[in-house]
Amino acid sequence: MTASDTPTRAVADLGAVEFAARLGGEGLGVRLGPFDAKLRSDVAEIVAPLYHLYRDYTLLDGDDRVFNLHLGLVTVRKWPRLANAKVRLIVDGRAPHDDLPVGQALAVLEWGLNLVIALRAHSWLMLHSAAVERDNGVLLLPAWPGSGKTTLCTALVHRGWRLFSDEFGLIRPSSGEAFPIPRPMPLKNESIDVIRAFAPDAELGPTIPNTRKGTIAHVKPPTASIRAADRSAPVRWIVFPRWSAGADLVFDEMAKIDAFMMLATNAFNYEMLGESAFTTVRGLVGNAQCFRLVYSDLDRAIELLNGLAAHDGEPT
Amino acid sequence: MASTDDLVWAEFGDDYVVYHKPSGKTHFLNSATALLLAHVLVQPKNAVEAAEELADREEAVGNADFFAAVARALAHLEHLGLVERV
Repeated sequence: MTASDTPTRAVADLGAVEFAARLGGEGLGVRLGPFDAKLRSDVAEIVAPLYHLYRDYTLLDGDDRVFNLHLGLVTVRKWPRLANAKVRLIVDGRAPHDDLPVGQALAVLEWGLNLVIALRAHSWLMLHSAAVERDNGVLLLPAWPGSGKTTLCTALVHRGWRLFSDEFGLIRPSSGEAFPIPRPMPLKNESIDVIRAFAPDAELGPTIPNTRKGTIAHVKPPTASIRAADRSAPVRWIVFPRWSAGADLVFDEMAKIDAFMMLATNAFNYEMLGESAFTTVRGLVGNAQCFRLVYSDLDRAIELLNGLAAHDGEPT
Repeated sequence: MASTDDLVWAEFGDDYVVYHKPSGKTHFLNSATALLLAHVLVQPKNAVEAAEELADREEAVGNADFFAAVARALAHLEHLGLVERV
């Protein structure tokens, strides 16, 4: 039986014990949207949260598979008896950054996946953008760090939108369609309690304090989003969000030329893809409605975006 | 000037974006500069000829301010590497 003949199994089908054995041994093969990833780790602290967050993902079995992402996370101890262990991210046998405290292992692994995708996935135009879908229309939320993109994305997927990604707007240049890569969504600092209150059913991983981005907790993507991760969709709306404390709600349609400029500068690999990126951004901006959103009240922002989808471009 | 084959255009109303293949650069142009680049400078010509042709298209013949604006646009296009003196 070849890998392609193997019936689809979820990570949870392994059970917790076999999951830990694979992660610490031959590696865990898991499908992340369009990518096949092999994860390895000897870090005991990461096993339970990783199993919790990844249990619904497609398990990739079979010796004849080719994986396009390989990540390792290993424990580094200077003094065996002291509890000062660190973890080292390993990508293709190299450590791309300094070791970090073992308590941050889950965050390090997730950042590592982002890093590898951003550096390698150049068959896609990669926008630094959240992306969610409803009624076969994708809403892109391109934004810079600190703009509340992940919080807004997490809220949307707990109000009926399908998660594509909180981090990558993956656009296929040949078709202009967005492709899902639903992964755990890292809430930061105050956003953790905001989402706990907004969506009590949200499944959060452990709270990780004192990271370089503050306190982090990852939200598990809804199971339905993970299972539909092979379904692409056209981009219908592009909304540039910015959370601002106490701000009144602002929702303005943008000039296409401004949206072009913001989208092109937002992409991870616009210059690398060259003409292909230009024509892809041209198609996205030309075919989608483009808005600027400033908000402080999450409920009102969600209501507005739901209305946008319900009325197909006419905000309520 | 840049060969027309070297340029890829995006048009949004009166706003234009052009991608210059040899340099890999994207430029944002107003309508007058885009018109100058896309239609007037398809053949080599001097600045006066370019201004006269554009003035004719834009019904601005004899307008000194218009000619000055064209001169500035040409300088801008040269600075961007989209046209060159020959």
